[in-house]
Amino acid sequence: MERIFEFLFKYPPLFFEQGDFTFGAPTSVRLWLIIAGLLGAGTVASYTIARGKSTVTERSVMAGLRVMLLAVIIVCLLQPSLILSTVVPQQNFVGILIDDSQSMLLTDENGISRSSFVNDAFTSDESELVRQLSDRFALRFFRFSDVAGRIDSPAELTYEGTHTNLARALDVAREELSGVPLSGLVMITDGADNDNQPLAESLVSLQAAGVPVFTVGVGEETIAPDIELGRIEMPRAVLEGSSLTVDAVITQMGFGSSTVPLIVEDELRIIAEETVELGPDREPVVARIYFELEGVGPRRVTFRIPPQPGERVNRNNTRSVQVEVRGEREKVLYFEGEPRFEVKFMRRAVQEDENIQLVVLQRTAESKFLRLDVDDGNELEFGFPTSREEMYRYRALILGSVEASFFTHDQLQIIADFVSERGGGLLFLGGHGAFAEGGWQGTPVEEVMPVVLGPPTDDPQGFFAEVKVTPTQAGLAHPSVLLGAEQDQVRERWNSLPTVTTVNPISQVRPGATALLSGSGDQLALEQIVLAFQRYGRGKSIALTIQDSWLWQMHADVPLEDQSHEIFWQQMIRWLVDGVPEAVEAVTDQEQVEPGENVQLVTNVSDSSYIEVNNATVTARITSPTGMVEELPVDWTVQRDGEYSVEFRPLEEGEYEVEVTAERNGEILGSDKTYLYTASRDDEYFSASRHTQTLRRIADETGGLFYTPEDVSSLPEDIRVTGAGVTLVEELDLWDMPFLFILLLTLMGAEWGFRRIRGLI
Amino acid sequence: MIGGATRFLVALLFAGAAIGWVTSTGSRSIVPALPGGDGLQSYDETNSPYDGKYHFLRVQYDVGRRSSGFFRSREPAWAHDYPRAERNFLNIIKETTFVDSQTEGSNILRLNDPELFKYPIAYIVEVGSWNPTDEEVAGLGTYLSKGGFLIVDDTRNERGNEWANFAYHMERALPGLLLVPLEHDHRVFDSFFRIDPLKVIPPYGPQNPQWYGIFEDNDPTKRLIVVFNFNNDIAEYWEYSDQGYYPIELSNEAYKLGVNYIVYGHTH
Repeated sequence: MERIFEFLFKYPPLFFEQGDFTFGAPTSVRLWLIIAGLLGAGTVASYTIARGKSTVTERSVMAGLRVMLLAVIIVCLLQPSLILSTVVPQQNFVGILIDDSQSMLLTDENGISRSSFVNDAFTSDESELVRQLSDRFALRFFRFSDVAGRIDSPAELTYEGTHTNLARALDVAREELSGVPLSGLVMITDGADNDNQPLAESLVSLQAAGVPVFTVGVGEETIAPDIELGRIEMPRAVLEGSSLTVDAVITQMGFGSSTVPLIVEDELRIIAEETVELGPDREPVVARIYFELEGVGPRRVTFRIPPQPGERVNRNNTRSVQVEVRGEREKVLYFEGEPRFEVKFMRRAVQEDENIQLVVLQRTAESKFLRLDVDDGNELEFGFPTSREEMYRYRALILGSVEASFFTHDQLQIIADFVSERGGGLLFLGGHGAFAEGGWQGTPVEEVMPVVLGPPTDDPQGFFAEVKVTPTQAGLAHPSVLLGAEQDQVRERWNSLPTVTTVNPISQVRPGATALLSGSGDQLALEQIVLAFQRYGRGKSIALTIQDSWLWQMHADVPLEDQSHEIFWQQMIRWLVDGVPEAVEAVTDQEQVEPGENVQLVTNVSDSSYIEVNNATVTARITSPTGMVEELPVDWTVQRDGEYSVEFRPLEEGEYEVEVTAERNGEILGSDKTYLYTASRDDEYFSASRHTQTLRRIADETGGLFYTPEDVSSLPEDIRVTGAGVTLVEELDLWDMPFLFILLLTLMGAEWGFRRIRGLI
Repeated sequence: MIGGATRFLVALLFAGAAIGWVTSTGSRSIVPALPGGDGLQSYDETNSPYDGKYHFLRVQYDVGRRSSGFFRSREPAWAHDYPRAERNFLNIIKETTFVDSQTEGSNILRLNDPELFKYPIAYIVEVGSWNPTDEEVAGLGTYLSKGGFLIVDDTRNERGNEWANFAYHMERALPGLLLVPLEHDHRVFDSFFRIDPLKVIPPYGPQNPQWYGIFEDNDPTKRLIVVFNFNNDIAEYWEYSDQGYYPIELSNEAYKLGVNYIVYGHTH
């Protein structure tokens, strides 16, 4: 179409887009228009006054054709032309940026690799493209992947880059060529940026500098058939023995709704396998897989889908995740206001769990407490904690049947702050002293609760209802209520458990809270919220509104060997302490980097009251895989309270241990350990199809154009017309456009033909 | 801390007054509606239904043909001290502790009754004549293994080898788990009151009272699942605490021991 346009109008459409239209006739346009008008009027008049066998209609048609004919002639006589700004040959530069990453070696369906276009178009001596560009511009070549830099010739490309950063490439080229007249940048890439650096800033800089970017997209927009294992949602640290629920995002193209196995390996040992039903083309499905990690320490967990027959790219079927299995005992305080069997059975359920220390403060009578599993005689010596330091030593708090009036206002505030500021987990259990029945409305703790408290029951006997518990839709996917059953059997498992009871009618969760278990029963007017949770500040709160979960262990209908109750409480308490922050927490911005890549180590430092500390001395001790130790000071970032940061560059391949210690005035505030894995990455094989949208955006926002290898031949001329740099103004004649000549002949032929048809000749 | 013995005595007196109407009937022991006195009927109608609270549960059983089980005033062995003992005791529990207990009544169940499993603390008395069926033995074994706690009272060898009878049936219920003497500093003697077991004198005079227990996995550091008042009878004190038969100090110790058992059974 473009060629036809150029044939008819003498120049390509781009010229008309870029140029300004004008008439080059020496006399004034008005004079010509007057003459044309007179001639036109005369013509029309001669037709009107003509006598003959023609009708008025026939004369009108002929007059119209003749007027149009005259108009075309007048336009030609006016000497129409395009005023175009074009770059001066050989006085401007063009930067050619070529993707040097591994994905350029991927082959298309026809077996030709993306890099072969580069070879043909830029390294070949016979390349017409390079010749035309060289005729017009001084060329400067760059290669880019995760880094970018000048090269003398495209022959230096190796295609070994393990990831791609488009923004960095544009920045480097713009800065390097900032001192010369630059007509534009040409970027040859598949557009698969996997460094996630925003492009916007780079594009704004290019706009400001007036540098258009001409993008050439290589590769197919769709790679099929192919399966890609996308994101893996997995915590970076877990407690030993915890059941992990991990979501894996899988996308496929060309395999239809078939099933594939998803295999999880811990150091080459298969620990879980799940059959995944693939979704429609391009639609990601989330596969949930459950497993446990044994042994304490850093682990490398690999998720993989075996290559399927005919699959185009196999290296995007595997992902590895670094996770630390922590072995410490998590201390949980359970305060129970009255001796009841929940205490006994909860203790029994977690007694075998070496990672949970359930400290029980049992109020047995007025001002009389029984302490169980405390570290020493001083712990909880005076009952429930009265200071933040004392309370914040625990990672989670379970409040049993204890009325709000037991606590002082300060203690209530400490409980609320324990969740919102310290980030602890808080579990509310049902009972006579709990929720509305315990007078918790209007306290600072009420809003921490994930459920809405109604008015307390006005029945002097109190409320009592049997509850049959079932998981909600959200609960079916939540590890805390799976009871160790296969996912499709969770509902059955809950159905098999006996009814329990509640004395707290609760039927509503707070906005933002999620109900995981609900209950029904003859004595319940509304569906009972049995288990619900919400995030609150830095922590989370959970409500379990029944009073006798121990029946799931003790009831006659529950077989002796049934572990539902044990699993429920183990999972519940592990969930409660999961993600609870320490006073000093260190984390790297990436869990895996390549040797030589920069890593940002961020450490958050608080004191024992979890108030951020800005004047701490923080030191990172980094141990390389071969045992080399490097100590680095970690400095306060200033931007955020308690945040310290340092950048380092691991050079060896393998596992780095990073231990951070914070102290203030000689007092150790805390320490934390994190791990980093260094190895080459397969990022280039994920989302490796051509990202046309990204490339079009770069071109559009900078005033350039997007090309494919098929239409890139017009690139040199397009840059000449649209590019920046040293330019000159050209005036291009349009009067001799073939279109005008054809139009002239057509009008003349039409009048003649009309006369013949009507017999007027 | 609670006001010690003084407060306890006040509670005791309160309990005595509260149950005065029971003694006014003049009958020594009242077992509700025991037609024929064989003690084998169901007590579903008189048992209080499960309501989430602590219920005193008395185990009903058959006696062996040749056993020393006896009927006093047509009272079966399992019902000895019933109901005044538990009624008085429940009032003491209510007055001294925060245990949310059902004081309106107590429950009587056999060991093979599924309802048993809703009450994780059970009381059994006079086990010298206890002759459980296989189903009852299996029920008891499951009950204790799941988390139940059994208080055994009023068993003494002066009436025959009662210890051996109990130990024999416990071996049937919990094979391999042994009855072992309890250390006097065991947690059960300090779960609410601090008790010197030697001060819990049997109501029948000095008869070498001993405390035995069965531990989970035969490990004394683990849960005590059976506590056995051998050569003693604390419920005898409970029953007559308001009658003046026994010195208040001795009744106090019996109550304190019972309270400790209940608190221990709720927390361990």
